[in-house]
Amino acid sequence: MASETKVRLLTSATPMDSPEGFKAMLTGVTLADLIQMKCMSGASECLRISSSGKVGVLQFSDGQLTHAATNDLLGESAVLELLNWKTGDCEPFAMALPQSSAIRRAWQSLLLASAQATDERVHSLENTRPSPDRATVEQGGNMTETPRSNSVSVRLSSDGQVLTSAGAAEDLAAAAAYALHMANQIGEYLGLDLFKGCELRGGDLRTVLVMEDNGDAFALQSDTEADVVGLRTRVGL
Amino acid sequence: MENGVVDTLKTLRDIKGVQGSFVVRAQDGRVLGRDLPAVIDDAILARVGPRIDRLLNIVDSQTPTETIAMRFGDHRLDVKRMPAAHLCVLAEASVSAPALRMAVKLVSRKLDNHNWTSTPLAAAPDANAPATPGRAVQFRGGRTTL
Repeated sequence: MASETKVRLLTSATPMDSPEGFKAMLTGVTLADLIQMKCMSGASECLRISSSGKVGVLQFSDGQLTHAATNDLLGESAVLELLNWKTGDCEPFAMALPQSSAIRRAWQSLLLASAQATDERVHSLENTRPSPDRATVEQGGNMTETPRSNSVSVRLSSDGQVLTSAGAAEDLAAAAAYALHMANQIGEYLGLDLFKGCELRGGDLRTVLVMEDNGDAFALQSDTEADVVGLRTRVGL
Repeated sequence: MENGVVDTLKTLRDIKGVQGSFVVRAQDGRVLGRDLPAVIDDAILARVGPRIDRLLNIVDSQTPTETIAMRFGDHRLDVKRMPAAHLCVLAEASVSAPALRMAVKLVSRKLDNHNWTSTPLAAAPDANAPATPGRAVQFRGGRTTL
């Protein structure tokens, strides 16, 4: 589909007057949440997404994500681009798109792909961030200290030893090790399967703990939603 | 347990995948109300409650932890802090997370107004109980293995 057509698709849409049901204004909801909600409820409708001057469209048919478009992209690549938008508005739209689906993958697979991409960005950020030790050396050598974001992370071995860390992670390491013990005990008492991870939220602060296949635990604490979304999806929350 | 609290907790089961819920008192984790399968008895909850209360307090921050979501195999346990108590919901992992969040918000709002001082407490944990779990009850939806 030519880009001209894409633009027309986006601009020719008209707001839809829903005949029944509730109108709601929600905050703190991610686009992934909305897609999940629409698909699980078997929705057939179109949503117009706007964010910082950008516009996109998602179309659902019988609970499947069938079409997506932004000004530059179509189909699955458009979905992944839309999932990168962290803030914005969403409204239902009446719009006719082709009956044949432009999206081949299941919506769950697309959400997972987006989460993995975000996760890789977080890991990349973690690897490029100076470790506490390196920061000390830099200060000793009269180098300018690199400003740090509000994210800290730590990787713990199965016996609670700190393997790697980024940022001032001493408190996080202790909290993660303790949380691991408490969660395992809670799971065992309730007769549940192995603990996979958890997320703690308070105000803007999010702390995610993920159990890895080799028995290590990785914890990330951040005041930025985008930093934790991939880990949360990996845990399955 | 008070019927009003239990009735409120039962509304969480309107969400497909929710298997039950319970409320524990802030500070000590004593059980204040429950709507759970019988296989999870009061003795188990008496051990779980204080640990949940401690989990809510591990993050050293100006803003206290308000929610915890834990994933165990095919299940999840969600905790919501209220002023004087904590609401805990056990659900299948496949539960609709947005629907569950909304249901938890509605129920906790309703329970916020409850006067917990008049609510009878479940039995306190056995002081001689081992510090770590001594047994595991396999709980998979309706199927139970002791």
